[in-house]
Amino acid sequence: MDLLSIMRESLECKNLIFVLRGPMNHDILEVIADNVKAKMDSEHVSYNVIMKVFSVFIELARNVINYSSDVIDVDPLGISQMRTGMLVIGIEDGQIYIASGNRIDRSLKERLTQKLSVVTKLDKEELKAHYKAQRQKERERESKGGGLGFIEIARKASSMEYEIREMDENYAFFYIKAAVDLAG
Amino acid sequence: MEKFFRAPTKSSPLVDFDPESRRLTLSGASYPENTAAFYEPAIAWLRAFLEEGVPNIDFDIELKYFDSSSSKVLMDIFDLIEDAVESAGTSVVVNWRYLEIDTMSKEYGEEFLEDLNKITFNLVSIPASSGDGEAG
Repeated sequence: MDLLSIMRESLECKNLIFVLRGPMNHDILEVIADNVKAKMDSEHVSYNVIMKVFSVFIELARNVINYSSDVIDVDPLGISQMRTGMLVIGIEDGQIYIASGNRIDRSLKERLTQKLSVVTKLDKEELKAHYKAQRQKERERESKGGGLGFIEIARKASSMEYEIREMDENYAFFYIKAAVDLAG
Repeated sequence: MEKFFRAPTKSSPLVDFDPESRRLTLSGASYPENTAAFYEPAIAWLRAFLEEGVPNIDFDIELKYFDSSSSKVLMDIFDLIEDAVESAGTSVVVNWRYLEIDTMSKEYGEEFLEDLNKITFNLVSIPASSGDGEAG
């Protein structure tokens, strides 16, 4: 497909609320997070749904910003960094979905799969217990988070799927999609 | 002791800890770039304040949004306060304030309440009025 068609079709696609593909950092996240909220507000999405979507969006964006293996040094000293990935928000079958995709080091695959396979199997009550237990565990370890983020996403979403596809000997592609019910 | 104050930003809350009135306030949004680094000075201040042996504290928390790593820090803060209740007999009231329509904040408040038993933890619902309905 030529570039013009890709751009025109994605702009005309009423089911897409937001698409970002490129390098991001915290400063960019602050701006687009506001943007995403304003956009949903203008489409008369209810307060609780907006906040659920916002919460999932922040956790997914955080994942890209912290763990994407595509790193760009913004300044020559490498103090300020951006990481590349893709974030999408769309509407489908009465749900708002939020998805992220980025390259990760292949070595992370096993740990992520292990965490996500647990999280995607639990019901809401089990997720709550898991959240509290994990929060306690991470405080003891003084972890930077990460594990809690996936549970948070699962608690807000009515469904969640993921895939980690190996690309070559060094990298894998990490995809997560979570859906929030519009009526919820 | 000096007052501890941080103005709010898009991703970090207003922090206003006043030693004279013994009123602590945390309000706004909390998803700072580095959660531990953001809260570390506030927690250090609170620890020093509590060590002075304070009779009572009112703590108002009104967070419209906080991310998963902030939730961990909130638990750290509550633990610190519960320790002071135990060791210094400080009487602590936490007012967990949330918009009436905000189910999520209410639920998070209820979950903290379940895990805390030494402090008075009030869930305070704020009635929706014009202008409050904007997601923040």
